[in-house]
Amino acid sequence: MQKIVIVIFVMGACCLDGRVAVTLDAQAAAVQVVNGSGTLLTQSPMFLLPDAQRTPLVTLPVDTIVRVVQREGDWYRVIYHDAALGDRTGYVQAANIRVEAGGSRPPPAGPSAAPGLPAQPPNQRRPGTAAATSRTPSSWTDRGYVSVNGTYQASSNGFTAATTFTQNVEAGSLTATYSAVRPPVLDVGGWARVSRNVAVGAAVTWLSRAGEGTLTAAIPHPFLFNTPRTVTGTVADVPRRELALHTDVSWVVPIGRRVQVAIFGGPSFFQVKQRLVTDVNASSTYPFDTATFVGAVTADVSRSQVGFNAGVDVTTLVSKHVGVGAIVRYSRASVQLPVSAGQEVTIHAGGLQVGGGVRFRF
Amino acid sequence: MTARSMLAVGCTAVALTVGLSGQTATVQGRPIALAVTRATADDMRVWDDQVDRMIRSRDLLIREVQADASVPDRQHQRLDQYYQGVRISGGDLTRQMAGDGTTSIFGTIHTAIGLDMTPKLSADEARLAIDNAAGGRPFGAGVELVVLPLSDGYHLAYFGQSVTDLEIINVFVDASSGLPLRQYSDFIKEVGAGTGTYGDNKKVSATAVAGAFVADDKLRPTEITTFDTKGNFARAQAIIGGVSPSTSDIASTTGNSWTDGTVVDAHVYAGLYYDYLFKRFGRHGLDGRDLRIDLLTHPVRLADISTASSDVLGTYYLNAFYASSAGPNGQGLMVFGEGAPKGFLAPNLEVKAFSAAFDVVAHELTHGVTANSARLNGFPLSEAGALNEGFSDIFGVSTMFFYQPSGSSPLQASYLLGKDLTVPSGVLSRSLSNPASTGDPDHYTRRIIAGDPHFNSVIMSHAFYLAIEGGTNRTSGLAVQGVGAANREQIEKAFFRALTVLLPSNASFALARATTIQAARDLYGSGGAVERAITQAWDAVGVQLRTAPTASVFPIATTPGQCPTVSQPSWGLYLTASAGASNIVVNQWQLDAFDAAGVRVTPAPTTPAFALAFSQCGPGSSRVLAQTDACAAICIGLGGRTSGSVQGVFTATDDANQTVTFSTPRVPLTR
Repeated sequence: MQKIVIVIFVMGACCLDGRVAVTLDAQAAAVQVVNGSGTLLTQSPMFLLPDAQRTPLVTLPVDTIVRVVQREGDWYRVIYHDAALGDRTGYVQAANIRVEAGGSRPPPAGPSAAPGLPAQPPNQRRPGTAAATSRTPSSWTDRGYVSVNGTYQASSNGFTAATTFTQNVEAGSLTATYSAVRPPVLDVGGWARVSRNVAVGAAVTWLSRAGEGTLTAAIPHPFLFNTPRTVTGTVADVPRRELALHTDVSWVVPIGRRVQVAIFGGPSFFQVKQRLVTDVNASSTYPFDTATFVGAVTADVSRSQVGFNAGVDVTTLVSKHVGVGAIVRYSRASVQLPVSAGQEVTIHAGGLQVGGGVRFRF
Repeated sequence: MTARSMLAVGCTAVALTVGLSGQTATVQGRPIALAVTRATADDMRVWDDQVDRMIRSRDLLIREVQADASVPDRQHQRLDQYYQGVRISGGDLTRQMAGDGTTSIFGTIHTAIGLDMTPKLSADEARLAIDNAAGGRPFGAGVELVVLPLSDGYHLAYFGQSVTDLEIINVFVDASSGLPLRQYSDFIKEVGAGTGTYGDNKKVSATAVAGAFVADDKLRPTEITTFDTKGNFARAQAIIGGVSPSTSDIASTTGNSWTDGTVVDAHVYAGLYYDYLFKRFGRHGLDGRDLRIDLLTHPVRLADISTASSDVLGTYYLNAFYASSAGPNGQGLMVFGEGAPKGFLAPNLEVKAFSAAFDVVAHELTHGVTANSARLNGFPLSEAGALNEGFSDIFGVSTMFFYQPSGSSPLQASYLLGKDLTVPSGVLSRSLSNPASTGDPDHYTRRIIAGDPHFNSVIMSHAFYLAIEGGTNRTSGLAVQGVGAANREQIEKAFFRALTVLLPSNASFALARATTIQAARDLYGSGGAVERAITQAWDAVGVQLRTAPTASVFPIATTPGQCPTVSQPSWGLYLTASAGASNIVVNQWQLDAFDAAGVRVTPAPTTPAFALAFSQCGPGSSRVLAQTDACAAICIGLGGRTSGSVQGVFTATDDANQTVTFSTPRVPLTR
């Protein structure tokens, strides 16, 4: 795949510079300019020449980042910045390097091209987004990334809780409707690649809204059966908070140089805290045929529940380590909240959340 | 929904604090409310240690230790705080302890009290002060010296309970001055579940008293109390006679679940009747001023019916009555007969306790309305007695129609008054729709002069029926265009207005006609459907306004003891002088007595002045208002004769200053 990519890239370059064909004719079999960076996959000796029989100049530890200048057969010519000696040029076996950054380009047209001279020590550079986009579009080579999003609750999270109670030796009812609001949601996640395009990670979403509710109660009459007094009222402050930990497996697909799409899904762990109307205060005077809403009695209840989430994250890189992205996440869990003794109301946590934020890649 | 707070329904242990700053000794201290649990571990340790120290120093005494019935290995303490050996009212804690230590402490303790703990009153003096404050009698244990925290500080006080006729009052008085500091009732209003005589569910407005519930309705603006003398006839008679009942005389139950159908029906129906008056007519109870309603059930035992005298049988078994001057306060008492078991009156006839019939309860309570408004008299010759019963029948059935669907089954409204009294139904009833079906008159010409007012009453209640439902009177053949059942409220209001604000005590059928028509005009305009329906209804039952004065006499044989001042044998005469279209002033009246041959007896019987004699169904005046009656009861003898006849003759002046003479028929007197 790597080879194909390079060919495609060179062919593209061909169209831009007619001299490349000559260079290719002379060096295509032995030398390919890379001019990127690479990470040692294992501890590797660096030789002065591409000859493993020679005494190594230095043995580079695993994860050492070097600047890759060109490929010569099974070797990469690299520049390693030695803290004591400065830049040192040598050869490392290609199998030991994962090229992570930079772009292949035709060899310089003349001796003045001085390929491989770094603008800065290559091993001081952090893994860059530019390098990723230089490689195959379907191959994701980052170690991982962190995303911070602000999202918008697109789906309704309003609900209705109906309960019954006994008063005046008769069953009454209390129905509270909690309005749907669109609160901002904080969505912070981190991902680590575990194989080619697969990453695992977790995200935390935090939702807090100060909603309001309306209630309707049918309060039994003190003297007569089947003659309830209906009262209605509003409750100004019935906040809801949702904290969710989403543990996901993600399939990450780079598209082009700057765009990356991640499709993810997995179980979610919700903790929901909701203020519920548990009782109604009403005033009534003789003959008690009507009642007037005075206020609601509320209680904060919280429950934890396991649910699921799935979504898509599209990232556009704005620099090597930083990107901006959009995320669509749908999560859901059915949570049963106790609203009175022996009675529960089922509400749905999560929902469709749409938003965007920044990505920090590494 | 235990915390549901219908403000008018909940606990009403109303605290009354009497501010008496400057007259009682107070000290400012500091109450500390504790609510510490293991979640506040540091506080828990501190307070747990503090509680232990206070127990050791006897500032806290363990009142009660309970094992937890729900959670294993838990124990609960209740602790009362004492200051210098005196309990602090309201200073108590609960401490929950598990195997590994205390888990929670809740309550209030008081610090920095610094109160002089020497009372100036003795316990006996305090007892007197408490009873004086409550207006009651000693109740419960003796008085207790306590420290009473109030908003203005701590008081050294005596606490005690005092009982009035119907409630227990907790009282705190200052231990030095004896002045009341605080008092509150132990009563808590509750709604209980009841089962009526017919097995129907009812809501019983009751009051919690010392762990039980009594049939004392404090939810309504008036108080409705149902007594249960449990078949103790002597006790029932005493209460009827005016002896103040005690709390133990009130029907009660322990769990606010009421299963005595007689009590349930009486208590609930009386409350609903009160509501009917309020909702339909805006009237506050029997007297319009929320006169309390007292009911008495189980005056006799059903098992004793076979040995009951005829008077007791007719009054306390097969009857219900409202005695307007009886009861605890002499303000009226309704008594429900116990009924009769199946087989007593007839093989297949059961008579329920009289509270089983909603219309009967409403009928009797309407007598209370009448007694507090028109005061229609019950003089035998007066038509007012029949009107009295008629209005009770009218509003008896109307109350049922207000609450229940129409039908012929038990607990359904119909024009058959007393339908639910018996099984099978309707045996002891009066039909307002078809009076002949129950042997009652449907026309004025079928009345029995000086007859049973219940019998004669149906003339008016049938007119009421016709005014609502319409139809043709079976005797007169006259048709009535009623307002329709959907508009029954209009006819009810017209008749209620006539009863409560228009009719005088000595009313007649004719005046009932005039006042109900006038009420219809007042409420719904002249010439309207309501006036037309009522007018046609009265026409149909043969009641017209009287045009000229009339008089009647009804003799009964009397004993010497009844008429000791006249020659024997004697007769009692019920005399009625009735004005016609005009008011009249009776200038002269006389009784003409005749022997068996028709010869006038001389000397003529001596007659007292008209105003003095004719005071039995009116104010006692020589002036008789148009369409009303004046009534008298006179003893007469025929000079030792055993037969003869008598006639009353009256001379009066009408509004036109014309002299009119009218007389009774000459009626025979025989032995």
